[in-house]
Amino acid sequence: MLYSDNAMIDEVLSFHAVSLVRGQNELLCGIDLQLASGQMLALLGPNGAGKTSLLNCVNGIKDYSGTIMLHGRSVLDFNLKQRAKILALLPQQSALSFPFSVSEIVMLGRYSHRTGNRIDCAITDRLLDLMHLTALAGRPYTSLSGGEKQRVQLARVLSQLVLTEDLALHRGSVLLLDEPVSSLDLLHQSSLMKVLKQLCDTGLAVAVVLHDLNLAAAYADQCALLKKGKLIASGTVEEVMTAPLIKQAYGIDVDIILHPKTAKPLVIRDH
Amino acid sequence: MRSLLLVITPMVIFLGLCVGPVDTSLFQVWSLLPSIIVSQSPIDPDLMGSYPVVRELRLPRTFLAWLVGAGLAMSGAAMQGLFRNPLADPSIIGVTSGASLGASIAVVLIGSQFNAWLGLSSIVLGAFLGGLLAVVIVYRLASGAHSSVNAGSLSADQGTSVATMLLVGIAITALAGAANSALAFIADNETLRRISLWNMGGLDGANDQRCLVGLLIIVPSMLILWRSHRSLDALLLGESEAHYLGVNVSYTKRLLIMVVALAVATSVALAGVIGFVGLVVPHLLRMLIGPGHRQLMVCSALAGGILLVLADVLARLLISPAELPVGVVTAVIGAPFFILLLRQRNGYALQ
Repeated sequence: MLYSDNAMIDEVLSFHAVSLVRGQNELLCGIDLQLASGQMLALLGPNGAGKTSLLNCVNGIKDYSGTIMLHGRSVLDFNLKQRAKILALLPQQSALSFPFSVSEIVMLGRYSHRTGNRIDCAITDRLLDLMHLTALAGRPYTSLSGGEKQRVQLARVLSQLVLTEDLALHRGSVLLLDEPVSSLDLLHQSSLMKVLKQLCDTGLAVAVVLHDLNLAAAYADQCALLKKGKLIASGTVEEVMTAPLIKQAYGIDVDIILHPKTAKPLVIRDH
Repeated sequence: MRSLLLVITPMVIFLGLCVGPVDTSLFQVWSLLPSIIVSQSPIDPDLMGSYPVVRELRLPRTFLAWLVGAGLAMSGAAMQGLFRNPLADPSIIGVTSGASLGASIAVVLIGSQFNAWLGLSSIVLGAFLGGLLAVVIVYRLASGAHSSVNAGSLSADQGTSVATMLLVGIAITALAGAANSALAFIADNETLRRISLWNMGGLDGANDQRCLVGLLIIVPSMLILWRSHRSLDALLLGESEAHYLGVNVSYTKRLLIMVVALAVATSVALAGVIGFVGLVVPHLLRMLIGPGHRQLMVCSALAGGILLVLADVLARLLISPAELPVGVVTAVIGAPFFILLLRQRNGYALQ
């Protein structure tokens, strides 16, 4: 994938003192975080830490305090279709009870574009190919396995960001993913992460909620560790993946060793 | 599918012009067609007798049947998409029961003879206003509600939750039904019969004015519904997903509900309560051509029109020279057919 314009935008998405209150609960509390183009940021933390809320503040929730800037403008200032072309969000689970075919689902990603049916079809075909879904193109979505559904949904959010037939992205595009690998087997987990990594290499900024710390360590450039709405650590994988921080976030004792092949941190639980 | 329906449509409409208690052959009606379409065209003296029957009775009736059937089926397709439920039908937002109540009030208070406006009886206006009022009430109540169902949506400003609307719609339908029964209870026998006949649906009141009103309201409504096909497709993914894709969810919801309310209130006002068409036509077509609204909406409109014209033909034929209420015909034929299909496609509806 190529950028339609080679100039990179350094900070495509940034959070400044973002807080969110729902009733008595403080779901997010003064989050400061930056995401640069070409980077993969892993959002980590126990259940209820506020990872999903953070993603929803970027697109959907409006009554947070603080600011979230996309390309130097508040996300709230964007027109819906304009924003949809540079920012896509894949939620945790997508319930769909109507038997759309796989290619129709991917095609839905083209909603905000006016590129015409021929180009939309070509983009859909290429994305199906990229996600190894070509054989399933005509199958009803409702008949797929959980992992296949997840890959279809990823192809759909990608088609939302694609501008042209050769899969060029809008410059500084951002992809937010909420636990994209939790329903996948080991093989598809790593193949999905590899696809994301390739996309990052071409300049896409990815923020991904993960529960598997080792997967995050293997693929992410940056990590953010949340607990009870607070950001307790952010930085490189090596800075965040330390036994004290993980103890603080998850309340479990771990050992950190280096992966024998990649030399990335490897989290080992003390059972 | 669409071309098949497009071919059948004129055939069915022609059939609608040919059938009735007065005997007219296919050939006679065929020769009358030019003078029906172009009013100046001279009429063969031999056909003078059947011209008024075809032009003044059957033509408006067939046309209105087609219009109402098309409008109901397309509204049904839109509601099933909006509520993400293949078992939704246009009456789900309270419009049908509201219109029913409005008509009953008009019958009881004013009587149906009084011609209010444009040759439309007060019952038509009562039904139309009642239907719209019910939807407005449902919509307002659902927007104000912060129920547990609503908590699932992204935030408070996300607008009216369709789940809440569904529940409020059921409540308002029950309330309007109760009020309707109360009115029927206090009404005298003659009024009671008129109320209940109206509730069975019937196209026997069709005239040029009604056709014109239908044309002016239902056709533009259908165009707006069709234009929303991309948003409806996206909404099937879920409201949040549609929002991420760039759909203005609350605007789309409001627009669709208003337009459906308008189309259905008009249909009910002009032709009484006709069940089954709005529920089953889009449902069956979805089984045949898939859930994409671009095709589904057009095919639903065509098939709904065909179905109601055919049902009306049967209503005129079955106990000729008397006629059955068309709502009875659609239900009697449609319901078993529907159950049969559901049983063949095991569990499809509840997937």
